[in-house]
Amino acid sequence: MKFVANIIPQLPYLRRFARSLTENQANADDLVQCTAEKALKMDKSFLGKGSYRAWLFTILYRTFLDQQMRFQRLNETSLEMVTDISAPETMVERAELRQVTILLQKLPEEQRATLTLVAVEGFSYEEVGKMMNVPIGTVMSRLYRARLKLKNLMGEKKLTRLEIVT
Amino acid sequence: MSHKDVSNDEILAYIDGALPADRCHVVEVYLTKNPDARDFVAAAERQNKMLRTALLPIMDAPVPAGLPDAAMIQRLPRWVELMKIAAVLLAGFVAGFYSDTLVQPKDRPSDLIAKVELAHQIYAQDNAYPVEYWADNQTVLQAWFSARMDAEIKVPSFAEIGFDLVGGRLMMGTKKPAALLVFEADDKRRIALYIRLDMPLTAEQKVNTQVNGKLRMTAWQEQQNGYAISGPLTAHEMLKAAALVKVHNS
Repeated sequence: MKFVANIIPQLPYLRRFARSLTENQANADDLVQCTAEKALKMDKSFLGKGSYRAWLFTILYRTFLDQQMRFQRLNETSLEMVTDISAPETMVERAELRQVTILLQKLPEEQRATLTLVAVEGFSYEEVGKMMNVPIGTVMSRLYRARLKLKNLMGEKKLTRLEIVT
Repeated sequence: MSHKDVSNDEILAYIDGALPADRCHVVEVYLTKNPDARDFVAAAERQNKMLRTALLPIMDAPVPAGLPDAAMIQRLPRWVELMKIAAVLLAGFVAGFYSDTLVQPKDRPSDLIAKVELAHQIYAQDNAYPVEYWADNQTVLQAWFSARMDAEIKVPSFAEIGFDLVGGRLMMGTKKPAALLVFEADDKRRIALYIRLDMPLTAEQKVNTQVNGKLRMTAWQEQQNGYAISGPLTAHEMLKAAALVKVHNS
């Protein structure tokens, strides 16, 4: 099926984006599931304007916003980090990587999504603007604020020796 | 970070590789003279690298099985799904009526026919003690089945065809316990639904049907799950009952 051929290669990317928006991988996979279902229902409405990948990310983001409106955010203490961070060599690097995933969750969701879509998924400002239905100026403003806030949070959360050891 | 020659937007575009080459040089000169902007760019580039690295394991992880498949099933409107199931079941009925080889080797859906027929006669028709857990303990029943069968067992509803749950009991599969659910209509007719989770994957996938007197039996397999229904049902009722089980499990 054409749909399956289109969506399957995007699943890892959708899962990664969903994971950056949600507190744990289970919630991220639920979000991807909802996205896939909506995409299936709306498949014929994709008119070929822009990339299919961007279209799927748009659906995922809007689904996320819908869910946010319906459900109260989980307590931050329930954050489950990406646990299998094995690539970095040092304990400090591993601890920092864990921390950046936690700090990412502290950004407002529109900033978090914008930063992930641009910095991790490599979408253009224009594509992100279309996904979020906002002008490019708003995308760049959110991106700037996201980076500034994350920089400040990371500055505040300079790893102490104790955090690294534990 | 403002400067008459370089805007914040240009600095962002520089970080993200979206700035035209001729402006990159202007921004780089600007950064050498503005430590705050330089710090911001360095921090952003570090963030980018860390985020990509931190989220990389998700890209390498296998996508959970069924993530797209489940979506495909749920895509279809309920009536389309029912029609598809009915078509498959109808083919099974036709094959069943004209086949002389309903008795198959062990562990095929056709073998479930004999199992459910026997279970129906022994348990479902027993008025005193047809089940181990009654319907008023459905939560316990489901939890018990799930624990014993090592998988989530959901009790389907046959309310659409006028049958309510009586209860359930454990049966024997080949390698694992199996479940038997009994349902009853207002006219006291009873349906038995037999569920097994240990079918061999190589088994036949077609729907099997057999009629013995007033009792009609239908069995089929989905992955390693085997399902068999028996009851004094019309062909139409059996189609609906099987479709309800299929939709319930999808």
